[in-house]
Amino acid sequence: MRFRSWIRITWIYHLLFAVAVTWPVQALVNNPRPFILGLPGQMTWAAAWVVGSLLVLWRLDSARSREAGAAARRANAGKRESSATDGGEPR
Amino acid sequence: MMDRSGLITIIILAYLAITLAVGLVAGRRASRSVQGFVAGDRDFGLLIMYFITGATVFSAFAFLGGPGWAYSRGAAAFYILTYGVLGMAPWYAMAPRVAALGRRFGFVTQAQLLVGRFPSKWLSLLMAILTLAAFVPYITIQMRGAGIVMEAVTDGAIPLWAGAAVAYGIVLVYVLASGVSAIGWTNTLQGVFMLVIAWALGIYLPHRLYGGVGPMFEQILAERPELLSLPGLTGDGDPWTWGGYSTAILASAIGLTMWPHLFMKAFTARDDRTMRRTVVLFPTFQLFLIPVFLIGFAGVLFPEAPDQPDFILPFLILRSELPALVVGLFCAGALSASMSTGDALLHAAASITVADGVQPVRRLSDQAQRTLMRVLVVVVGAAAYIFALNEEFSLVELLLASYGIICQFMPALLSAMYWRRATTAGVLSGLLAGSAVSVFFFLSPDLKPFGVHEGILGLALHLPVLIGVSLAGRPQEAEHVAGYVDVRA
Repeated sequence: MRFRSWIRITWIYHLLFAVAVTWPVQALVNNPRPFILGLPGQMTWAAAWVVGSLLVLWRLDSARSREAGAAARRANAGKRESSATDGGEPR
Repeated sequence: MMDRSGLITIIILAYLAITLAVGLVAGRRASRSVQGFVAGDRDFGLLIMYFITGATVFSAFAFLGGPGWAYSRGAAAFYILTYGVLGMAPWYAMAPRVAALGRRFGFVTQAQLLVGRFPSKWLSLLMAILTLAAFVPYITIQMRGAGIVMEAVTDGAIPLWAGAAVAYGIVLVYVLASGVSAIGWTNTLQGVFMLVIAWALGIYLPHRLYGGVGPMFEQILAERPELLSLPGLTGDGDPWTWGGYSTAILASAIGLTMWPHLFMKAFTARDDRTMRRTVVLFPTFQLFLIPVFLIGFAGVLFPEAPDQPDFILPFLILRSELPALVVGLFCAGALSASMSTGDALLHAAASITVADGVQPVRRLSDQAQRTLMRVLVVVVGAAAYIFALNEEFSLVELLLASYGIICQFMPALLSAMYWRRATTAGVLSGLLAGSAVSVFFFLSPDLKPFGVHEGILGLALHLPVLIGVSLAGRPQEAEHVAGYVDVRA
């Protein structure tokens, strides 16, 4: 997938993350059972979002590296420089 | 018992000696300029950036306060698990831009970037004052944490005042000698140390006391079910509000993004790739809170209780008949947590005071700046030390107030980098209005609607003031604005 798409996915993921761990969604996900790896449910919930963030950010970064690499090759081939560097999303 | 204390003390001294040696050796590589002292000649690789960031974020608060929260407030502690990633992720986009502006204009502090876009001596002074006000209680907590651990673990052989003095004496020596380079290398050492110790204890203690992590939570659920239900409890043992829990996450995430000492790290990275990778890997550091919480939960059904929840970690360690070697290593881990945050804060406090508080009023030579920074490291350290010895001050409350203020930096800095139409008057009045509201609700917490964090309430006034005043005034010159908003990373 393209870097642009991953920027959007990263944005949406972290907005969902913020919604998922605050009221009212977190109030619905508030049962300590089932224990997963011995941990109470809410803790696993939070930890799962953190792990998901790691995966999304990692995919975002590899998409960026790929496009930056492709852009560099195109530039070397004498073509116009591609604009695949930064998304510049504000926060 | 004497042998035990002796062995523990030797381990601690060995650890401190290694830290000092690493800190001093690191400084010999950096150049003797202000850029070298503050920004490490902008030359930090991925490994060091990763541990600097992780070790700086995980302070004595995480190592002692984290277990303390899990122990006394139960599920309320889970907020700490979530906000870190939310605060860090925006840096993937922001860091390369901040770094590009730093290279282009030679910025080494957060306020320089802000004042570069919005030229005002008052804005610079205001940022320096707010930053310093937010830093001193934070440094104080780290110092007291170091002192408490030393006193508890050595059975009072090293009292709090001496423990804090020794640990921070060493910090002063390497920060004065080597500046930010020392912090990079010592934090790498300290970060590795903290990770290993936390995971080892987080798995060991539940097994030793309950026969496993699952059985531990089964017992807690049977005997103290209120601890495993969100939003958990307040410090007094009453149920916490959802408003308080949710906005604690938001305010802390925003605050984390904006802490000046972390912001400055963007000026120290070797390249953008390094910084992006640091952000990508940050969630791995966040997972380190899981064993930290396990340690706290392990204390819940322990027959005895410490005087204060924050002591639960050393308290358990001393009563679980662990070998002296483990106790000594734990002590070093906790000192790492304290010192790795404390050194970065001391260094940042001094750099910021000189760059933003003094330079705009009176120009100094490079040499004079470096000297003044060193003097200020000592002065700020001494001030925090005096607070650390004084039990009267409620530090956690002061720290919460400082988070409220740090939150107010967000609209200002985002405007500087992303919003063309923002004006100096808008940013200055927004910052003043937001900080005033935040301090007001900090002083009268009963007036807070739904228990919402004062930093968020501050932002609720800050944003309309910033936008209103900016739009009412004349826009900045397009060429000037383009230098900041159109910068390519």
